Amino acid sequence: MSCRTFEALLAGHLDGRLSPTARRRFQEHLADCPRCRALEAAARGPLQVPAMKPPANLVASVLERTSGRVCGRAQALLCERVDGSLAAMEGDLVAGHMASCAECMAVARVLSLLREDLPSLCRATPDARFCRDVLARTRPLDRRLVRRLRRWYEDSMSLLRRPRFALEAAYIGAAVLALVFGTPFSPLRETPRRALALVQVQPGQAPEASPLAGVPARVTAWTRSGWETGGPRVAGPLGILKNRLSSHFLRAAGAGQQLPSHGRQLGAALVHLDFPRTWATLAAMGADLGAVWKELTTPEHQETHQEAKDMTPRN
Amino acid sequence: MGGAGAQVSIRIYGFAFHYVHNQDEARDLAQDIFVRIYRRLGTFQGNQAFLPWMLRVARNVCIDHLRRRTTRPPRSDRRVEDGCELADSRRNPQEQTISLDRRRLIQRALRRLSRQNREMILLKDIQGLNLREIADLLAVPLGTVKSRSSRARVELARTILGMDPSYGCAP
Repeated sequence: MSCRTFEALLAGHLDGRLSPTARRRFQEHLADCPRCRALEAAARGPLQVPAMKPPANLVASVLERTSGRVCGRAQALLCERVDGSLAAMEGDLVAGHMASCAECMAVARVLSLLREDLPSLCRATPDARFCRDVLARTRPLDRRLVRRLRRWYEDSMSLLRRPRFALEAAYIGAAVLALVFGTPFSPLRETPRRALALVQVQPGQAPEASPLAGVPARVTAWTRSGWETGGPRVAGPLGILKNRLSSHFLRAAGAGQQLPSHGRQLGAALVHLDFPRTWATLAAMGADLGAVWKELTTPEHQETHQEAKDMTPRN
Repeated sequence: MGGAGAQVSIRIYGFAFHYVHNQDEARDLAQDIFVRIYRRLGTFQGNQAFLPWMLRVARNVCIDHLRRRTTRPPRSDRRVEDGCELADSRRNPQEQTISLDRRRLIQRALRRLSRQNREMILLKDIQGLNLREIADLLAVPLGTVKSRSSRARVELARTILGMDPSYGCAP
């Protein structure tokens, strides 16, 4: 008999279940083999198992694999326990778990405190300007006016939000311009041509020779002729005042004679994005306007007022 | 603004603050909420509770504001510790200081929660709405609100414990 066969028959030998033939062969091998004799003696004696400490999370691991995570289930019930709406049996289970679980005990403690602390967070004081600003924004105005303005605004915005608004506006604008300036019976039909001729500079012509350059002179002549023809007819202080004012306007028109040419230069500078030239032109126009203003506000003008006042008949 | 209006303003301001976590922004947002409530007062039906209706309007304004802020973020962000002057003056100074520290900790923990959990705590535990009102406001089933609320509170408690394990323990 081999040692492997002996080990296979050992349990039957100890229980007395071997046949007579097998028992005889077993006894022969037991007498011949010291290793199997020691094995038979060890198996016949009391079982010696070294004491081993189980891992700490053994129970939790087994429960997690069999009925889910205990802490997760317990913490899902903790809120109801804190609120006092948990059934008695489940409450006992949760309490039993908490007695052995420091984490769930801490969560339950925090939940109890949160039940007291959280409601106080709904109150926060804004600064003193808050109420004033809210009242300013909600103060009732004339409700009908506000309603009309709002309706007008909403109608306008709905009109503007239409995708074809720009196209329609262009159509309408072109039609209006064609009706006003393009029809043969319109009194304004010659206006575009005249306007174009007014500002157009002929080739080879100096800018000062354009029709716009003569505008101040025309104004001056018109003013002079008007005052010269009408002024002498008016006697007394009013006539003196008008004569003096006429001279002031004449001098002011002379001082501002360069304004049209400066305006053209400004336009050209802006078109070409020539900012230094723009700035210089603006400075020149400012000087012109200053000269005009100075002519209009000379002491002679004030003397005219005073003289007219002095000449006013008193009662 | 009368006493009731002041109470509502305190409540609305606190509500807005929990969405934006910034005093100036919360102040402007609370103004917008007030103006919106003022303009929508005609839609309020007398047979319904005012607080859920008011909070529904306030929540919509806050969400609109947050959406706009997502597309155009503010120039600077302020920490929540910079302070929100809380209006609780019921306790003695020492208890009040402890409570103030607790509230700041809770506010910091709330910022770490997801928006869904934070909103659930804001509506149920801070503003005091019941589950049915929250379900109507959020348009979700009652059972969903219940589970979300429980999960949010536990999440907040665990977050607080992670930030300060001695929360609530006697000093």
